[in-house]
Amino acid sequence: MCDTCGCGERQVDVEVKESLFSKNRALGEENRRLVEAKGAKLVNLISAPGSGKTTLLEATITHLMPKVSIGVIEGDIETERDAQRIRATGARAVQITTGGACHLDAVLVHKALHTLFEGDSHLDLIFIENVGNLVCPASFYLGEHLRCILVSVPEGSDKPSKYPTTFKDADVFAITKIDLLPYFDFSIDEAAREARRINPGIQIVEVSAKTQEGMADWIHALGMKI
Amino acid sequence: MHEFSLAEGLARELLRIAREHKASAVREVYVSIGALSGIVRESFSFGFEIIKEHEPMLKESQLHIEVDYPTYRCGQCGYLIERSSVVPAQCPMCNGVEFYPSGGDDLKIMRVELDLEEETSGGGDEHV
Ligand SMILES: Nc1nc2c(ncn2[C@@H]2O[C@H](COP(=O)(O)OP(=O)(O)OP(=O)(O)O)[C@@H](O)[C@H]2O)c(=O)[nH]1
Ligand SMILES: [Mg+2]
Ligand SMILES: [Zn+2]
Repeated sequence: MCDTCGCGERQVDVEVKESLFSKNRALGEENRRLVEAKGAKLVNLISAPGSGKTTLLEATITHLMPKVSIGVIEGDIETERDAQRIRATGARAVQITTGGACHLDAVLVHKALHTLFEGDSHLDLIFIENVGNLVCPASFYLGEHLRCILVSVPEGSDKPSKYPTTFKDADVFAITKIDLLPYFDFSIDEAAREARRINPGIQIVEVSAKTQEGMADWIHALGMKI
Repeated sequence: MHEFSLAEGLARELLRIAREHKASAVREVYVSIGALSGIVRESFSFGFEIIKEHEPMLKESQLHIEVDYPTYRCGQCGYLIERSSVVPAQCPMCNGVEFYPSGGDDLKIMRVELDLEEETSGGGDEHV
C-alpha cells in the first residue's frame, strides 16, 4: 500500500545492473563471427576528420591488392565520396551515410557486411573507415579484430593525453602525414609516451601515405606482409 | 555527440522494465557512468529530462547518476591505483608511467524504483 494516501499503489525496487551498450556489444560479437566465418579480418579506423584515413586506405590497397582481397565500409555523415575513392583503387566499398550520427554502431556495420559479402565475394581484409570523430566512435565496438587510431602531424602530439578514452582500447596508433614533421611542433616521443600511459601494449607506427615512408611498418601492424 | 541517443536508450530500457513489472510509473532511476566512457553527464541528464516530458510513465522519474572510476594497474610493478579520476602521472611505488585501466568505461542502469498499480478487479489472478 502507498503510505501517503492509501491509494493502493505499491512500490518495487528492481536491481538491473545492465549496460546500455550490451546490445551493441552483442551484435559486435556477431559481426566478428560473421567475418571470421568468411575467413576475413576486420579493422576499425578511427580518427578526427581529415587525419588521412581514406588516403592511407588507398595506399594500403595499392600495396596489398591483388594478393590480398580488400573490402571497405565507409562511414560518413554525408556523401558517397570516400566509397568512390576506394572503388577507384579496385577494392569493394560500401558507403554508410549516417545522416548526422557521430559514429558507426554494430547494427549499421552488420548491414554493410552483408552487402559487402553479396554474391559470395571472397575477402581477406575488411576495413571500416569510421565517421571522422576522435571521441564518439571509441564507445562502439563493431566486432573489429584490430582497432587503429590515426592522428596526423598537424593535429598535435597532445591528442593521446587529451583523449584517453579513445586510446585505451586501441591496438594500433598510427601517426600519419609524417612528411609534415619538419613544419610542425609534433613530438613523436610525447605522443607515444602519452598513448602508452593509458595503453602500454599499443603498437605505434609512423607513416606518410604521401611519400610512402613507413608503409611497410603500417602493413606489418595490420598483420600483413607486402 | 551522442548523449541524447544514449538517453533515448535509457528511456527505452526503463519502459521495458516498467512493462515487465506491470508498473504504473517509474520513480527513482540509478545510473552509473564511467569516467572513461566519454559520456558527458550533464548532456546525458539534459537529454533524459527532455525525453521524459513526452513519456507519461517517466514524467515523475528522478535520474541519479554516480560516476564509476577506473582502476589503473601499473605496467611495471603491478601496483593498483583504485578509483582514480585522472590518468595517473606516475606510479607511487615504482615511478612507472604506463598503466592498464580497468572498468570505468560503461553506462549502466543499476537500480530502478517503480510504482505498481494494485489490481482493482479482485479477480484473483494477481501478478506478483
Ligand atoms: N602531406 C600529407 N597530406 C596527406 C597525407 N595523407 C592525407 N593527406 C591529405 O589530408 C587531407 C585529408 O585526407 P583524407 O584521406 O581525405 O582524410 P580522412 O581522414 O579520410 O577524412 P574524413 O573522411 O573526411 O574524416 C587530404 O587533403 C589529403 O591529401 C599525407 O600522408 N601527407
Ligand atoms: Mg575519409
Ligand atoms: Zn609501479
